[in-house]
Amino acid sequence: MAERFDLLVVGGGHAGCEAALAGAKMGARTGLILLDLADLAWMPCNPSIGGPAKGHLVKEIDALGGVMGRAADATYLQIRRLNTSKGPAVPALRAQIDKYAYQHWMRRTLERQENLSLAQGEVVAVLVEGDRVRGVRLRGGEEVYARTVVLTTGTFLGAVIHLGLEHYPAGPQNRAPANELAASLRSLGFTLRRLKTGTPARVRGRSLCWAEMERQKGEELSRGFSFWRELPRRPQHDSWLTYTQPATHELIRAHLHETALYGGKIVGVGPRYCPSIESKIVRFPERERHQVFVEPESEATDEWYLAGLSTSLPPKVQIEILHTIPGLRQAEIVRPGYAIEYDAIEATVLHPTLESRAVTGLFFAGQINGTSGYEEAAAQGLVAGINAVLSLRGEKPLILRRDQAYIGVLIDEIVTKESDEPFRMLTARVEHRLLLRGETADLRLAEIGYGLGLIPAEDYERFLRRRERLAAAEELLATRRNPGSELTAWANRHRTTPPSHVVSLRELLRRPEIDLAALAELEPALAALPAEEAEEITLSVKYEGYIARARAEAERLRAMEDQPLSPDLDYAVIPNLSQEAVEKLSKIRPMTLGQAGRISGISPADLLALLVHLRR
Amino acid sequence: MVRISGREALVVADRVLRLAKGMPLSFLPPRTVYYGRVVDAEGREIDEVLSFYFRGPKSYTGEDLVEIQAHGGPVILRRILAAVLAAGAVLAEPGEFTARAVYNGRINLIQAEAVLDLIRAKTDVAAEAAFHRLAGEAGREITALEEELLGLLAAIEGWLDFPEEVEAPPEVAARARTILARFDALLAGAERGRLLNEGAAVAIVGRPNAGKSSLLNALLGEERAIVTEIPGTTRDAVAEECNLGGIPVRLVDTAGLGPPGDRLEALGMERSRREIARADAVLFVLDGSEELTAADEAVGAEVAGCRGVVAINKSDLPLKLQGVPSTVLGWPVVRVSALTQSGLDGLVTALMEVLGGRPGEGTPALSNLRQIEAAREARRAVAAFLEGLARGVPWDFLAAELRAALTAIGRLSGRTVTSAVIDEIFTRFCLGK
Repeated sequence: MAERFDLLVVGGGHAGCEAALAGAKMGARTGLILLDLADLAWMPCNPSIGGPAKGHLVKEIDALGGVMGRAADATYLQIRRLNTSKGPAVPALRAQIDKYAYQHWMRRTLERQENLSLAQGEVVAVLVEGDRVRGVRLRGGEEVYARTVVLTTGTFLGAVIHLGLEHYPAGPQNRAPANELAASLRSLGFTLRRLKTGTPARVRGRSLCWAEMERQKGEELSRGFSFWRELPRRPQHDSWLTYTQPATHELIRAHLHETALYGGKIVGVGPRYCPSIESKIVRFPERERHQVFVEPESEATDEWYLAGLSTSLPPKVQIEILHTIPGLRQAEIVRPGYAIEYDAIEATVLHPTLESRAVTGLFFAGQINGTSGYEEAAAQGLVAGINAVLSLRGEKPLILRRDQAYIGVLIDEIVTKESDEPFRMLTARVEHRLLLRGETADLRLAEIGYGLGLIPAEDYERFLRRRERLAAAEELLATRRNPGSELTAWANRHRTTPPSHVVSLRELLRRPEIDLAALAELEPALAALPAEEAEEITLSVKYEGYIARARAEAERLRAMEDQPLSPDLDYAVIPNLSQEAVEKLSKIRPMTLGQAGRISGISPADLLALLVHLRR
Repeated sequence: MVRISGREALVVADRVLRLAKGMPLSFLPPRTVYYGRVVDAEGREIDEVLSFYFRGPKSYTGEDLVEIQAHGGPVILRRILAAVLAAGAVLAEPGEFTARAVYNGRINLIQAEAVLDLIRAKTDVAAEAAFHRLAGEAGREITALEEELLGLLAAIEGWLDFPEEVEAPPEVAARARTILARFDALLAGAERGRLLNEGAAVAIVGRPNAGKSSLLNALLGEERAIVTEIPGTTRDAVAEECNLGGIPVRLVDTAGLGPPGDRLEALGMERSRREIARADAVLFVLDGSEELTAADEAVGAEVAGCRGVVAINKSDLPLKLQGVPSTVLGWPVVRVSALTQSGLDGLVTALMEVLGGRPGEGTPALSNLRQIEAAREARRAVAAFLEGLARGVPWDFLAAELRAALTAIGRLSGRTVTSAVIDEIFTRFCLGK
């Protein structure tokens, strides 16, 4: 590899790809090194991107100039909108991805990128001089020097696979694990914790009985995750829905003792929101059946994914279990399901920039920070890559606020709150959810992405035009008042009461029975608005009461967020701070009073004591 | 008594106490009374004292807490306090001990306010109600409602975040309606709870010689012993406090209503008008033994638009009065005799009805305007949730209503309360408790 990099990314998963591309686009001499180049941008679990909160993250990544949204749009097998009937803040795209096409797309994108070198190798140590990172050492002894390093080790670090009661050192799908790097991190003073996740068996499509399952079709959509391009038309593939049976549950109960978790072998903590089928049956004994989605993995293979059947039972039991389920009665297993344990750091040792507080220039992103999910990883990778370059330039870091982006909430949560299970993004974690709709991610973030040099000028100009169109339409609605004579006929046509006095179009739009298409009859300029923008305007008017309240709440909280705390603050000398608070604050080192308040165990009294101290 | 709380409480106590046991208080077991002396910084003995201490978190404040009991007397207490301050303590802000108890999670806000209510209770019923709140009985309903709301919100949030796995929560409207009904029940007793603690002001009006003063004295009756007289001239409004059905009521005898005579009388009239505007209810006294006069009508005009009760006095004499002034037509009418005291119970009941504090309906859970406002706000949000549900408002907006309800109720349970609210409450406490 080259003599010296500005930015060296270790790991080529979803976090690593975003970090490397962002760094290179910002002009840094960037290297990306991973265990096996063939695994670049790999989805070792479900080849699916999006869903509530995760879909929001992808849109925000895209709005900032990341690539995950573009890659998903280019390689989907099926795409659908979820939650459309539940309100404007929670709908989300979910795409089934052609996992090999995705990897190829990403590989080509990285290879075409200037300033970026790709290489295969195992990083066995992080080199540190004083309190600054210097680079890494590879297996074979070669040292690669870099001014900043982003570690994105995913589930490879210290990985152990559990298959029934057997376990052995291995990364996902039996890849080689990264064991020595874990030891190097420990020697640098990082505390590693064990986390656990799992994956279901893959089966051969030809062995399945489609007639016994319900077909799930994709939707024809013109917009995908990306704001910058229309969604390419691709042939969509169906997925299939089936259910576990009482016999399935009996069989699983009978073999529970043969799983690593219930047999007592796993110490890592698994995610509550993505449980194995064993866990579901133990924790919800009253449920008579559980859903199983049978989903395609790629056009290049007849391998199918069984969403909902994650398991670490022995393979011979796994096949018996599948054979109790309609559609799967003759299923052939291509790869068995397994549970995997891996090392993660405590992300509370990081700045909100994702840089280590102890080792300057060393950044962490993705599952090594205790998160789960491709989208969560990509979001962190992007932010870590950006901040690594900004730190080299001595510029102000990118720290997104909680009322600005889901990414802001995600990073604030992981660097602030100690957690013993993998962290998944949820819309319920986002207190300003009504202000952070997926469709407005570009309005919130594109300016930042452009400022960083991650969005090409022609895309940005298109965005500016979109923003101007929205502003012009808002202006038109607020000021345009039609003569009463015109309104009466119009009102009758749309079965609404003719207004008794002169009103603006905006006031008319507030009426539940009136939409923008109806108003376009009064003001033809409105007809020219693209569908997403018409929807945007309609929502902002129809629910302005709720939105105004959400804004006011965000403003109220801003005061706390704007109160900075020095990273060198000696908490031990602050009067009236509880012992627990002193310990937690000294460990987590919040950047603002607002962040301090979100640390578990910090009471209002502690905040008050801090506030009093700050005012002194 | 001098009380010391905080991380260094025992350090301070060890500096000022010389115990008969011959060792520092902090070396001895807690919750036991020790005899000894207090000394000042120069080692001079101030008084013989009894002292004991509690280890946090098992204390009133949740911190280490020392109490020193002396013989009393302001000079001794001041000298002991000076010695304690010289040993490193700082003087407590008003209400700071209870504030610390809340901060340290020992009691919730409702209980903290109950401490204040208990100290200040003016009637037995009010003291009893405050004690029940302190014991946490009433707070339990608040906590239960909070749990219900959290459960409902979680069911909805789960469905929003996991559309492919979690089904739509069943019976959302029914659950919300039950919560609403429970808020209504909570608020129904609230006005009485507030009256019990904050009391009410009743202005007694009527033309001269209608019998205002004698009715006032009759109402005061045996309670006179605990009455305090607020000084004023004979032409001013005179206020007396009494206990009507458990509610502390400030009865204000207004003077000089009617056509003004001299300048002094005009001044008294201004004052009376202010009292009427300030009162929670008006007691309008008419003389039943005479016909309605122009003076009665003039008084009636002064109280137009108020809430109140009409008392037709002198029921011991033949009734000559026919009708009441038109401005008070909707008010309840009670016949009484200040002389024989007949009809007084009916009058008190009618006054309580008008004030919204019907007696004998159990222990009110909420006791002041801040608590009632928070409960009302939570109720409003739940009602808005139900109304939005019926109108087809999207679920993510509906969830925001439930969050608003939880934020409001959090101000009662103390879960989400901001330091600003806490400070406001605790400045109302008297020093040290």
